[in-house]
Amino acid sequence: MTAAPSTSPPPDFARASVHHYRSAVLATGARWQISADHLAGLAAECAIKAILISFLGSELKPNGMPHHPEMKFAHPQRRQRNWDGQHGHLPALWEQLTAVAHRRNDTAAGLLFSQLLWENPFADWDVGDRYCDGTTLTKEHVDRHLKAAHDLIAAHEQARILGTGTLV
Amino acid sequence: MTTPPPPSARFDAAWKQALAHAGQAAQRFGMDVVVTRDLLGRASLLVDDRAAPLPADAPDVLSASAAFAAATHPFTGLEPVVLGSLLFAPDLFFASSDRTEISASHGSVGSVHALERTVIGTDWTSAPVSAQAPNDEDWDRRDRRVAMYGFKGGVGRSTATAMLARYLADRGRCVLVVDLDLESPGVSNLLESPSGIPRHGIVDHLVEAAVGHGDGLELVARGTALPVRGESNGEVWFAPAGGTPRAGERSDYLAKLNRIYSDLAPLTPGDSPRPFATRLEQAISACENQVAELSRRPDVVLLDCRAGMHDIAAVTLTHLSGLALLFTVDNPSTWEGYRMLFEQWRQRQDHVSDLVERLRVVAAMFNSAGDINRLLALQERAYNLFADTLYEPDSTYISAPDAEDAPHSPIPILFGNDLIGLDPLRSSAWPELPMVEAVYQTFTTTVERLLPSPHPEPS
Repeated sequence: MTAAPSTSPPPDFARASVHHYRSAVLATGARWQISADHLAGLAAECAIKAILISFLGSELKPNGMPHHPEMKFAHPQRRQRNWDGQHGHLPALWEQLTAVAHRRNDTAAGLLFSQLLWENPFADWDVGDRYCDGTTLTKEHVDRHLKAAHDLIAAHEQARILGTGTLV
Repeated sequence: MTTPPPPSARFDAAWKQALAHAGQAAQRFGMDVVVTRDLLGRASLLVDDRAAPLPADAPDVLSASAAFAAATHPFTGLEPVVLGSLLFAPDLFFASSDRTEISASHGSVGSVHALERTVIGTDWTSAPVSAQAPNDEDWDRRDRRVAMYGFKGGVGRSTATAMLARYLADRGRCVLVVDLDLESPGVSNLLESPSGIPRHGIVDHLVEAAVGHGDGLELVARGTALPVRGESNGEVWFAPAGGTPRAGERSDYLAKLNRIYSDLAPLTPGDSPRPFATRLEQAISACENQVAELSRRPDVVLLDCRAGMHDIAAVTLTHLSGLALLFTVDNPSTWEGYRMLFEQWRQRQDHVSDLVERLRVVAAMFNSAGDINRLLALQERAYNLFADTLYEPDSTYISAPDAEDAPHSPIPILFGNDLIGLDPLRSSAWPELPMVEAVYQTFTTTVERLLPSPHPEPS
């Protein structure tokens, strides 16, 4: 079945990432940890999708969903064996970013983002956690997720203005 | 009627326009401006309005943006004018240590800085590594390193390096020669026969250390092609560009060479990034440490670096050496090359005075034939170049064109036809030929005088 073309305007992941990040910071100040953590993850998701589209070859499908056209075949070790290259939620999205960035022969693009790719800071994040009761959510979790989102948004902004050199 | 194509500027003209518009914006808005140039050469103006945010649709902003785009097309960034108040991480631009000051703020006019992202070559203008984390040992190491550099190749730089090493060892010093001419290595062949070349070289250290695997390499060997004379306890060690693999081992030099020039992310999350300058410094330090382990600390380290505008030379001259010998022959292309180089350095006013004190011109292959006037002519050209570019207006060198120890004062290496095609391995006594000694005498004795004292004997 083919998805129907979307009638909404195309997503602006870069702007959305900043909105979610600023909302997350506000929520942190108000000690709304569950919301802060949820928004930090969404901010990072949007920043990653913006990076993938701006610099690493991902495209929007007619329904507005981003995907990478060269990533149709599942990596043998991937959990989603039938992944068709569509970018969804963290933490799997992080692995997609890693896979795409490492596939690139473009040294400069690889370098910019390789500094962000050491380990998945969202391995313990799930979009469904907005329903959690908050008892297992620590300040350390939220801070780590916020910092990772900040660095991703800054990397995208810097690359837009200076090109994809290193972040040194 | 067809529409005329939009006016367009070539690369240099576009940048000149971008800088001019940056100056106008700093004046018009009374705010600091950073003019960026990306990997393709496309420029944007970043106006720091964080203290008093401007509306993005203010007529001033829109007209500045339109004028900037028209003047710099097609080298215009994705957004011609970017307001700092709208940036997510403005300090990455307005507080970046990579900025170069174009003009300082004065009165109600803001400052202008340039911030460039290039593929390679940022090391030509970046601040010295040792200035970023100075400690006594770092300074001592740097002061003992001598960069041997020529803007043009083929001027006898490697031979002079070997001769200098031999002379200093004769005088009791422990000398290490590092072959940094990685694209056309050679100085090692003047110091050792192929069988004595160590197993690894500088390129091995650069690729292995990149993945945290730099320990245990065999990087240095003691040179035997230039036996040290007399009772001296001097030594000549060398570190080749690439090693000689053991029998049965394979070494793909080109595959390594093609991977070494990157700036790298930290090896461990949270550590500092590893720019190329730092990586090369670590490779040289590893060679020095090996000589110290096998014998004693080197008193002098000669860095034979490749000719031309290249990152290796940039790093070696500006970051890694205490003395930089600039090999020069008196012809227009050499002077034009050095002028380009010096004008790059002049952009970093914060460390240019430190750099100038470490430079000395060498009159390479100087065919004097008893005519001192030719050396004076070369000195005058060198003086004019330094005075135009690197000397501060109040420098004592400005008033002393014929000062003997000024950076522009040329140290001559005479020219002799007999030196052409010399095969040092076939005639190991070649440095002792009277003709050869005469050629290098002024050079070797002058450089010796410029070096730090040898390390004291361990008690």
